Amino acid sequence: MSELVAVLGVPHNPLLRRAMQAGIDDDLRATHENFQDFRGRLEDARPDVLIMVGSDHFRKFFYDNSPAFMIGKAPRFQGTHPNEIRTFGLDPMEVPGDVEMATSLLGTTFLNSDSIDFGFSNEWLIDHGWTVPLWFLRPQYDIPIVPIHSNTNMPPLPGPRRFAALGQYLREAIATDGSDKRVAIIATGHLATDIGGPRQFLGGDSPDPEFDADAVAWMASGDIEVAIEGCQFDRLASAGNVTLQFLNLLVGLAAADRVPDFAEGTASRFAPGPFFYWDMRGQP
Amino acid sequence: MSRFDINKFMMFVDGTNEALNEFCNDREGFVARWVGAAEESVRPVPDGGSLSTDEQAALIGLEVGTLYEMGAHPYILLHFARAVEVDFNGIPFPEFDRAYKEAVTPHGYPNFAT
Repeated sequence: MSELVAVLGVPHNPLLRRAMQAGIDDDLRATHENFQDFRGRLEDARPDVLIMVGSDHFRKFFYDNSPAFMIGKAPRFQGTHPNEIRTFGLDPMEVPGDVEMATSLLGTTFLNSDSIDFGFSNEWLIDHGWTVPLWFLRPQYDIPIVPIHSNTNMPPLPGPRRFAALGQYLREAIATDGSDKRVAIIATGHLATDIGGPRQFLGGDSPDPEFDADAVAWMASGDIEVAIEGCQFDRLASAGNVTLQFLNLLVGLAAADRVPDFAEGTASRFAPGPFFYWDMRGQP
Repeated sequence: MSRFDINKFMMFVDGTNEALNEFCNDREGFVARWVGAAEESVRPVPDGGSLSTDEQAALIGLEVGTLYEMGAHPYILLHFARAVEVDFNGIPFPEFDRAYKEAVTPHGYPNFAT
């Protein structure tokens, strides 16, 4: 059996990365310290594979081809797209993939999951939704990943209960996987964030502080039903037009199924970022 | 009005430096070729699409408020406009951001589902 050793929920704002490369100013220090802390915790957990749940930003999965949930099962993943290198200043990167774990999650005949109808991809240029968390958390790019894409950008979206089901499935599938690996799940999304709308780039202020407080409280409760109840479409959408990516963090809560060891909406130069951590070592 | 076709156009232009340069150096010609490619073929048209006269004018003129009101996806619209104005034209980002917000704010939060 494989073992779920850690679950993390983190931001993936590419502007954070570029800003921090220029130096850690006071308005970036808390985010920097959280990422440093999480990087150390991940190192201590010694995972053999990282299952990374995020949302492609229209590059791999666009309006002509938009799966609800997609598993990458390639031996290597490269990042990122030319426009992200140009606009965000991101570097090209490459990370190994864990085909064995991806196949275990998917199945080889009928899908193994009775709850999630996964698509799969054998070739996938990952975007900043994966490369930025990896740059912060495992910049050596040496631990194989299984990227999972969810559609949180192009309505209609899977509902919050589906994201919970994904987390619950990952936990069960890891427990019954036969490869005897140590597995960490990294889920990435936003608190209240507006990109391309009237409330973008408010100089560190949140477009919806009340949402941020509520969302962190849902996660801190450790109760997935509380989070599901809170994640109504209109509530998420009214907090900013990419706040729907908060749904990915429900995967982490559902997989961990308990109160997190760390839960914070961390202020920075940009909209506050989500930081959640569950140490799963020794958990039943 | 096709939100899909507007989003597809903006993503294509933002997608590569080659497409961005080609659009910025000849906006009207680029749009004409894009529309023409769709008229001369059947879908799928990877580098073409159908755009109304108003949509073509909004894209050529980089009319952010109009495109936003039409239901262009905000994330795609921002990065298209930013690529043209900041990455290509060299406008400082704070100046671009102010103008962008002034353009979209009167329109609130339009439905951008396709």
